[in-house]
Amino acid sequence: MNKILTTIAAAGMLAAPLFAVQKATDLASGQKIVKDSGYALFAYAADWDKKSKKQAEALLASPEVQKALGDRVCIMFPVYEAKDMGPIIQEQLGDPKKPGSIRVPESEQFPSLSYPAIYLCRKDGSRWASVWGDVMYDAKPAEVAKVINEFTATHAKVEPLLAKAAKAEGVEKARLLGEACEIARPASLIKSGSCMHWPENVKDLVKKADPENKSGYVTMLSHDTSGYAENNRQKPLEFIAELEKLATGPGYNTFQKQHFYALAIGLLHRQGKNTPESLARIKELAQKMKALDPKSTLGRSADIAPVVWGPDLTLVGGWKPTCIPKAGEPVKVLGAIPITAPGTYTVGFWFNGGSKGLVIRSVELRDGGKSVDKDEHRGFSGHKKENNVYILKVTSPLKNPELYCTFDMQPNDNSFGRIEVKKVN
Amino acid sequence: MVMALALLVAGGGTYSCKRADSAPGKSAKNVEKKTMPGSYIAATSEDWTKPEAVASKLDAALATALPEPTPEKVKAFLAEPANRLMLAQRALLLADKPVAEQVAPTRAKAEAELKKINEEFAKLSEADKKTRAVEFEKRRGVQQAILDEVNTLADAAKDPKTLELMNMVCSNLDWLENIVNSGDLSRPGAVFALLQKIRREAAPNLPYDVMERDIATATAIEFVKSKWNADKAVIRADFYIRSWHDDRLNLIFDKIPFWQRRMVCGCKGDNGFGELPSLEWLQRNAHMPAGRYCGCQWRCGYKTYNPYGETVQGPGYNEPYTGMYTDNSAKFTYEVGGVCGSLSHFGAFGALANGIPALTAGEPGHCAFVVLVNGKWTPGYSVSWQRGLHWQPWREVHVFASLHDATDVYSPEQKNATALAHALRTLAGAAAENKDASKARKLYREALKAQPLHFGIWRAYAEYLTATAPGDKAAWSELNKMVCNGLTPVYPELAAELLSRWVYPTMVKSGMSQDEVMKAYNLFWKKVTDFGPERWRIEQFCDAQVGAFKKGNKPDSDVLVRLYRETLGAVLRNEKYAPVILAWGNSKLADGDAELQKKMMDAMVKAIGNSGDASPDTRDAIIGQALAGAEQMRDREAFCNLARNLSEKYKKPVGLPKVDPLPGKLLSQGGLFFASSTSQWDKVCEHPGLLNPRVGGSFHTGKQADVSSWCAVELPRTGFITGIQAVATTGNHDRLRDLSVQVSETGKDDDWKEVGKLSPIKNCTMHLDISALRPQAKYIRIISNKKGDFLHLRAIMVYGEQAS
Repeated sequence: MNKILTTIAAAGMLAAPLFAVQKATDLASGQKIVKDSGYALFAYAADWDKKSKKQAEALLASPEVQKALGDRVCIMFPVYEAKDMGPIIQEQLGDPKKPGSIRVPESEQFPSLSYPAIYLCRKDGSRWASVWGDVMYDAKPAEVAKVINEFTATHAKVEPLLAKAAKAEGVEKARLLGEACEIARPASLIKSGSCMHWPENVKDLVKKADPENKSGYVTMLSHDTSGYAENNRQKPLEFIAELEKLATGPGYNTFQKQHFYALAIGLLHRQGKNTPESLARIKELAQKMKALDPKSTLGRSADIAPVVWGPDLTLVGGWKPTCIPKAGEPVKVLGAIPITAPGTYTVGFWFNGGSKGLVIRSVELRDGGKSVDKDEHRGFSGHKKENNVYILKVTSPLKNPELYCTFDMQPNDNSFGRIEVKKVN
Repeated sequence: MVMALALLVAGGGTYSCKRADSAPGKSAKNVEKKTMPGSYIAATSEDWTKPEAVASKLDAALATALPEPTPEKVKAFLAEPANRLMLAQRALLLADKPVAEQVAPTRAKAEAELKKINEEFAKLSEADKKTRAVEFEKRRGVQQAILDEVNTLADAAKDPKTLELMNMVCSNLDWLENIVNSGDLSRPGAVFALLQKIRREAAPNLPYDVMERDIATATAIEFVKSKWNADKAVIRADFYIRSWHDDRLNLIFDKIPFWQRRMVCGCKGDNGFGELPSLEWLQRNAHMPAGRYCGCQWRCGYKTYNPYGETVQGPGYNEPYTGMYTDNSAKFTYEVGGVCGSLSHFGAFGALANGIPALTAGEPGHCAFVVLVNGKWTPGYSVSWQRGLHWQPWREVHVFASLHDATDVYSPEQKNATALAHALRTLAGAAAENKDASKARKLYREALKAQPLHFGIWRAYAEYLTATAPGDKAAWSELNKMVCNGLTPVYPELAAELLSRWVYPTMVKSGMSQDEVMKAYNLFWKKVTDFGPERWRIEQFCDAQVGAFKKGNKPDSDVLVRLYRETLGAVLRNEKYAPVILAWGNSKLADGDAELQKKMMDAMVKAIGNSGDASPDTRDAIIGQALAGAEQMRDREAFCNLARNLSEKYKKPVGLPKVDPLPGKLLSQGGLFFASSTSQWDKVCEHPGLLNPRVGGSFHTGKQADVSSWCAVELPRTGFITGIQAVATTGNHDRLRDLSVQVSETGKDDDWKEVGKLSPIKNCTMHLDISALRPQAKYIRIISNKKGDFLHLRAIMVYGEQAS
């Protein structure tokens, strides 16, 4: 009997919720039970899609997400098609002007781009992270929980700084706020779906606390990377030293430092005249840019720019004046050639710009130096295209494929375009 | 009857067949459903390899069933689904007929080229034949591909599987009516071939699932229409089928009519935003209520330079990201940024990827987009009303009104009228094919009476008349009348499109007299009421009307004057159109010689004089436009004549301070006022009052850096000037502290002479006594010596003695 009772009790324990997630239907009831961990708002489509409510509910009910949320108060709220529902939702979650109420992004200028979404908010109602996009589209509890856990871990580093900043003054206050912002916005997370948010009005708070910018964070928080690139894109090459100084010194975050490197690379590309020295420098700067944050957009771009803006004929970079030899001289396409398995492939030449269209004589495929197939005919790729696609047939697997193009141009003719290899059969 | 067997299947139209999530390319599940859904299905055993024979059979059956196809009889005929199916099949054949003729030249060229290649090969040596076999094979392949291309129904029917599908479609009323009655249909044979390809590679179940069927069909129609890649069509159809089954689309997708499904599924197939990775990314990362898409583009950065400093106008903008965003323009735009083209495509394709009708549109120097939000076509990122649609419900008609027109035509409220119109159009087309012109024309006219909003039918009739009766003045005159009566009051922009592209050019070529054509023009203006969905290119339409008559390379100025006069006469009471036409006339004044200017001004004044029954506000608005023109042309007579027509509002005293007149006669009353510039505070209708001290008025220039503002008066006659008075505005006197007075006999820029400065303001009045100087002048100018500031007064009086 005892064994049976133990088994029943164990089963009962397993059936019961494992974690302390609390649910509330609205803010008023949520405020009565909210703990220091704050709220998690589950936003879903109310009347314009079929799936997001079920997804939100399923996530809220899943053990993984519940564990990740801990004892936060969870509130489900609907997002309606009608534009003026924003204020109604807001009403449910309290007057945004009153302390402790939650200001939902739906009633702000930049609401969530996709639903369902999870907003993580402090006890005082301010939002500190949003989970949306890919991870919420798939709505796999383990993956959502992982994002929440990552955010929570970061949040745990940020909150003490903010708490100290609230009590501090002057430069110290600015420094603490700035450090919090650096932690809360890692570069690779910018422009992705899920992200953390800076504290509200943090730029003004920092500026007010540190009007002379002794902490350096006034500059960092207000630096406009786009405007900077636009205003300095025509600086002489000597300016690169200044950019490197900014990229390696204090006062800017990783995201901004990568932009300094990018601008330096761009200056070399436009003014360096493709000398071996300038191309080597581009590679060097690109590697430094990558090292700062390999996963960011610029981090991923770092391996591409040196190839694309290098002198050689490549599939990634296409053709350009520097790789056009004299007429009839075959030029090898550098880099990996995606022609290995048997089948029929096309090699297409697509003009991008320049004063001359590309005249092609032939395209030859070799394997370890031996000719596999050759398509020889006159092709043209300019604003109009004529016979610009070449066909290669492969009958057995290739080990070391090489592609050679022969053009009918003059060396360094002003022509740019891309080369596209496709398997058609 | 041609049908072998009639099978009634009830209860069609509900979407079913939910399946589990599936990966790309895997819509092809092994679900077997043998029952085709539809409201009416009748198995057909027609030989589609011989479309002409099928057409003849159908025509015979229709002739038997409808010997006299009056609208009433056709309406009754449509009550039977079997009859509707017959008409839909006939409509399909009508769309197919011209295709063979259209592709014939290309095919002939390919055949000739193939022959040439074979002859060239035959002349080679045996050794060369061996070494160059592959090269020639490839060259033959290119030409053979052209010859193998499926274009007509007969081409499509050669493939057994495609033929099977054609039989399914042509036996299914709902399916076939969607194809033939949802807008323009190009190359139906190619559509069937592509539909079969989609069925084979992505959706074998499509005949048995209404939504899969509709998605695949909509995709096939649009991809064939625009000649986009067939493999991409398969991917596109698969995307929407999977998305729908996976409940990923906005609910609106379930309810939109088939023509809008064509817009969604047929979104640009040759654009990076329309590639699968991009659509998937947008579905995953931009899934929001429909109304939000109109502003979502701002989440991407507006960037004219990328972080490398490369301009968005050049290839360098994308180059450092080569391979990172292959076929994913949406993600690229979100992460890197772009300008209006990319941002608008982000907004439009964000909606499209989620099943919401949307499209991009060109505006002057800009790319915008339009989204269907709560049944309303809502512009996004728009800077102008001048908008050209990138997807068109009516082939090659880019005007914004066409979206609204199609919405109307295909709405539930218009369903019966449109159905009748479609039927009559089909019968008209059949009559045309059988060379029965009289019957064809009669049926087209009946179709347009049944549904006067249907632009597609208007154009079909206009094209038919162009091809068969270009010289039939009576027919063109009648068509013009029908357009003006039927389409103009609701969609004036579409009516203008039809008239300027088809009707007017042919009317002129047909030998109609100028009088007849002008009468036709005028009928349009008599019928306009409102702008329609938005302000439209009225000025360009006026130019088109004038442009039909030319003297040498220039429009005929007599026609211009007559058109202006008659158009003004027609629209003067219309508070929307009158100011536009007046402004258009003003723009022509600037380009014309003195004689033309005078004639145009006379026309304007006369028209305004005849507008007595328009409301006072309307008349004043019109006269204001005209006054501006008169000032610009320095036409004193017109200025005064127009001023007389202003309402009492502008003839009441404005409350000038009591001013003692200067010695001499008041020479300025009856003069012309003009100024260096205007501004938002300037009221043209108050200009005439400036020269009447018993009334007063106002003017307010703009300001330009380093430019002195001024105002001037042309006197009715040259005089000997003894004094000038000016009444200031009640405020901003700091702008009026340093004003000089100049005189001129000619008013030309280089002919002004300073005669003194106005006194400081006292009791809002300034004066200058030049009785000692007594210059002879016809023009007086008050000019501010303070550059870059405004000038404004309430009255100007010039005293002296007449010199002529």
